[in-house]
Amino acid sequence: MFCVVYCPDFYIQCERLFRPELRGRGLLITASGDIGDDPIIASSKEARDLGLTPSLAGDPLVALFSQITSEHTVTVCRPNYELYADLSSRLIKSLELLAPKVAASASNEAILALDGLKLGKYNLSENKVPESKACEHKEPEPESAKLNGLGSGSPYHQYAIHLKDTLKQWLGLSVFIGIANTTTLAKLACDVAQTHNQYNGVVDLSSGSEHPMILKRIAVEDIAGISKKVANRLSQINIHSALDLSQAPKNQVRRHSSMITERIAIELSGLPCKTPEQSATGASVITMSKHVDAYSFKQMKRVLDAQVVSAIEQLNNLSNNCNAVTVALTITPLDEQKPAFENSLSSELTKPTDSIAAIRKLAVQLLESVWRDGYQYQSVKLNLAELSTNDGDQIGLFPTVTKYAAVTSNRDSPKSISIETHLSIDAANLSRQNRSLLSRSFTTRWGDIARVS
Amino acid sequence: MNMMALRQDFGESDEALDLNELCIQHPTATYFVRASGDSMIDAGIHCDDVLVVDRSIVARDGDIVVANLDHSFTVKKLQLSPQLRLLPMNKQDSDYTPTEISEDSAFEVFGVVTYVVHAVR
Repeated sequence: MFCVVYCPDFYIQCERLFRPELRGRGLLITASGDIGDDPIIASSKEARDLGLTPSLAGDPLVALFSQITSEHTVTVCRPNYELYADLSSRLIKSLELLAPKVAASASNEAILALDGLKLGKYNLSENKVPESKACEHKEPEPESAKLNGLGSGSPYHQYAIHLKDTLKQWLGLSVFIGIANTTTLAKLACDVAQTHNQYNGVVDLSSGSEHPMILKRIAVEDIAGISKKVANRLSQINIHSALDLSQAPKNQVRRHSSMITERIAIELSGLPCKTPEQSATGASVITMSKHVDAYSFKQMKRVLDAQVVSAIEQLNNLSNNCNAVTVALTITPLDEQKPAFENSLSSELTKPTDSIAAIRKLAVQLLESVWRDGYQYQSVKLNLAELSTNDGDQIGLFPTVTKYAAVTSNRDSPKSISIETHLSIDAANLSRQNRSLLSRSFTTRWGDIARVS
Repeated sequence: MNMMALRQDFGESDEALDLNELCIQHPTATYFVRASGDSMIDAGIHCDDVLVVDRSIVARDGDIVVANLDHSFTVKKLQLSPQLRLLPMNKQDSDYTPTEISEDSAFEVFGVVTYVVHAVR
């Protein structure tokens, strides 16, 4: 049995944890803490309800923002990745205490394998539920728990509620939870929990009997791992919903798309064939690819900017630095018979970094070099490669002796030097920009912890 | 007897005592905050002390808590019965009075204070 835990509006929730004054009102996070050319990194539900969605950028955003702020309070701040990273690691560490096996799939999402979970204390009914054998590739055993609604009352459902309440209490973060036989189904269950309020944030498909009802309502292109292109191809063989895909002959699915889609189809039918680690894809390269119809450099630069922001978000999720950046543009050929061709350029950063300023600067330089006026471009790809870990540690109350020794012995290695320079650059950037736009590092710097009176 | 033999005789544990171990039972649920003012002086909480706040503990009557009241943080003694109140702990200063928590105030216990770190010089 698998469980997907997803923390929605993660950055917004983190900001509000130590800044209660930001609760219940519009909040936007942009790279510079200002409204303008920067893409919106995150927006609170209140802001989205006012029309301030992350897809907005540039002049329309500025116009809408000034119109809205004449009546409503909307706060804009810079992303505090230090805070988000700490809460993300707390989220994963907490889950590790609560579940047998945890794989982080994003900073705000984790997949849990529940084999070996002691369900006894969650079992409200008399029936004993057999321990699932989800990792083996065979028919799941029918669960004997009595169910009503979407698994409410089942021990797994009780467990999920316990998980949700515990995370709220310990971390102050609200989550959505989906439980099912396979990771793909658990992820869909989690999506359903998020989009349908009536389930109180928890959807349990462990019984198997609820699948058709749920799967029928989900379009294939909304399934993680299925692109629009694949969805179009599947619609040619009359596969439109997740239910269609789960019931289609598997070899036909493979013929019309790929083994990956076939695997998703098998998972949808309730047979596990992906481990949590596979679903959580540990990346060694971060790739952002976007289909565009761009003629102007400015347009392309804006798309690339947004890619840099989301790529760095992933980089931060992995607590990684990157050392090499590639920008590739695909040009639409004038003669439609000929294949599209790609122009790409790579370069190394002066030192491994996760600094948005450094990576963005290099990415834009690369874009300038590959860009040729007068062509129509159909896609842009951004690659961050040569990832390495940055060992940012949470502050302890007192640094232990061993820790201290480790820090001092690292002093001479190039890595710690690069981290120091990186910090000083950030500090320089900070002093130039408005400090009040950045929330403090409430959990990672002694000088920044919250004041209580 | 050299140090090596001594160490072997008395077990391999050469780790120094770790204050984290003493003060932090639930690391993933523990946050630090800094106290302002002297409203809690009788509880041994002075201005600028660091408070260890454990969120995994469910607050009971009489616990010293960090609470979020009307969108700002405060540290007080929690009274659950007969009515919900936040009590200051400073007998010397009569300016500090209990805060009644009414139905319509935004109130939430952020966490329970488990340790106070106070510098004596």
